[in-house]
Amino acid sequence: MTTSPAFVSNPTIEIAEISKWFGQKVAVSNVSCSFGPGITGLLGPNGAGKTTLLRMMAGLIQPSRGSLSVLGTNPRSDTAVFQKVGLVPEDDAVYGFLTGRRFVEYGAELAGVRNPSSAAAHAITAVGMDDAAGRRIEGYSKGMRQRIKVAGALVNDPEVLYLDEPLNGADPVQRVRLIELFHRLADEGRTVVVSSPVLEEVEKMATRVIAMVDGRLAAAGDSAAIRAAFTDIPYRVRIDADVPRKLGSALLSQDVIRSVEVIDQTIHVQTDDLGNLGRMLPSLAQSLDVRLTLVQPEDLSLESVFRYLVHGR
Amino acid sequence: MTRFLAIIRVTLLQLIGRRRSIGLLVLAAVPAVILLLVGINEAERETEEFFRRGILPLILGVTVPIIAIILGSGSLGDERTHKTISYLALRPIRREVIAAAKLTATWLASFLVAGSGAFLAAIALGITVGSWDEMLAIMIATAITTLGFVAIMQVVGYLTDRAVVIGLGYLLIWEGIVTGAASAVATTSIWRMGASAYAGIIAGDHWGSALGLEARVVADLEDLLAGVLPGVWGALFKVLGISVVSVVALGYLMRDRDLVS
Repeated sequence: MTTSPAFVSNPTIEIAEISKWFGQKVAVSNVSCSFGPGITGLLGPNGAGKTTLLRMMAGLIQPSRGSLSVLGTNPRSDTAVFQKVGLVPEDDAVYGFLTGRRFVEYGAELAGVRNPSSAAAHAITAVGMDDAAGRRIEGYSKGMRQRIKVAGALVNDPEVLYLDEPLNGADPVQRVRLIELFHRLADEGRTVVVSSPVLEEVEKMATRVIAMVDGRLAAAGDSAAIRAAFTDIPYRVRIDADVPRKLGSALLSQDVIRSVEVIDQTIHVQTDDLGNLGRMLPSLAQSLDVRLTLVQPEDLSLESVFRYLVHGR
Repeated sequence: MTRFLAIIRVTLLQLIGRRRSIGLLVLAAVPAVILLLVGINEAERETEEFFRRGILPLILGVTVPIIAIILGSGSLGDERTHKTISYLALRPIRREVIAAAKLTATWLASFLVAGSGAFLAAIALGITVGSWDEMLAIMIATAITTLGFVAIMQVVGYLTDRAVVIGLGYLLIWEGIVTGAASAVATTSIWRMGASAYAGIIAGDHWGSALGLEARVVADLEDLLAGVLPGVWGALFKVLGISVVSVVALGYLMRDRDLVS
């Protein structure tokens, strides 16, 4: 079982055949995996079930089927585990009437931290919010809210940290600082689970990635393997031209093209290498004296890439 | 204890200090204004009777419950709706402690608002009638009524987004119509528990013996209570019982049901 890339040898979080449905809608379907120290990225398009899985791991919602344990215990029945857990929720949920400092102190008080003020100050410094900590959260930008939420999650010095799209709204400088912070936390031996729908974002944070789509585990492994799986996917490109059949025939003989289909004035091609096609197409059209009116990738959303990984289509 | 107090402090800030508090304070002050207007034009005796038959039911049966319904619904309901409940629930605290702290804070906030109105009404009674010794009874009745409604509404608010509508429907149909018409179920009326405490303090040991109480006062109180016996301790035990059930129920719900949807 531990040979599968979905599992780690020293797990702090273990998930066994877990499912969650809301009425008729299946949000997470029969997922088994584990998480250990270091950063694991939870990757998937919107609606893939990442947030639901994180919420189950955090103990916010009850699995409909299956079991999970965090630090050897069930978070739904043993609230003591929250002494060692932190969550940055995806929702823009904060107490707007509190100052940033008070918000983080409140978290420390609830966690039973011995010196809440000192712990809050430490966490606020870690996310670079010292200057704005005395202001009410309702006046914060989205990026600042994200950072104060991260500070709130760090204040009890957690062993396990769940981050649900933590870079949302953060500007490029803040992103770099937050990613550095997450790396530091991972280097200290903490288990950090970070979700995002953006592969590039996850690659910067996580060495190990678990990809989800339609509530199911789509792929797991190190980020290089996931990236390779992504780049092997054939892309569909739509090309409109004044003489489509002539161009279509010429495209068939090109190495980068997998298939060509001509419908009316439109050519639909499948290619493994978008970059090469983009470079080759203008010169080919010019040599054939064909005028291109539209070149557009089709079906290039992350969701379609995930679907390909799961369903092969 | 630190956690308990921390939840109380933040909940008080959450419930008070918003725009809705101003509206609720205006609502709470309405009975006092009406009493003053009546008192200016009527004799002391009529004003006193109007207070017992009109103003007291208005305070305990309308303004206090509405304030408690609105604030009680928002106590944990707002935390669920705004999804801030994760900051509370994902901490090493027993669910019952969270529920008890929330109930305490919401009762304090509701009593602060509703009690202000009741206090103003007691002052208006003192100014117009010259009677100041009912103030304690009015405030205790308000505190008891507030606690009863808040304890119920905190659970309803946790379960549904439509808690205020449900609460107002309950107030109108059960508390207003059913328990007023059927004395057999009048003891279940929350606002009459408050009225019972008021009557218990006013009547003291004289209830039933008709000694020391004017017949017209007894008649006023009997109409107010609709068959419920007067007594502070009985009323207090009832609302405390409701509060314990509320805390236990919320603890169970927070453990057994999803905390966010």
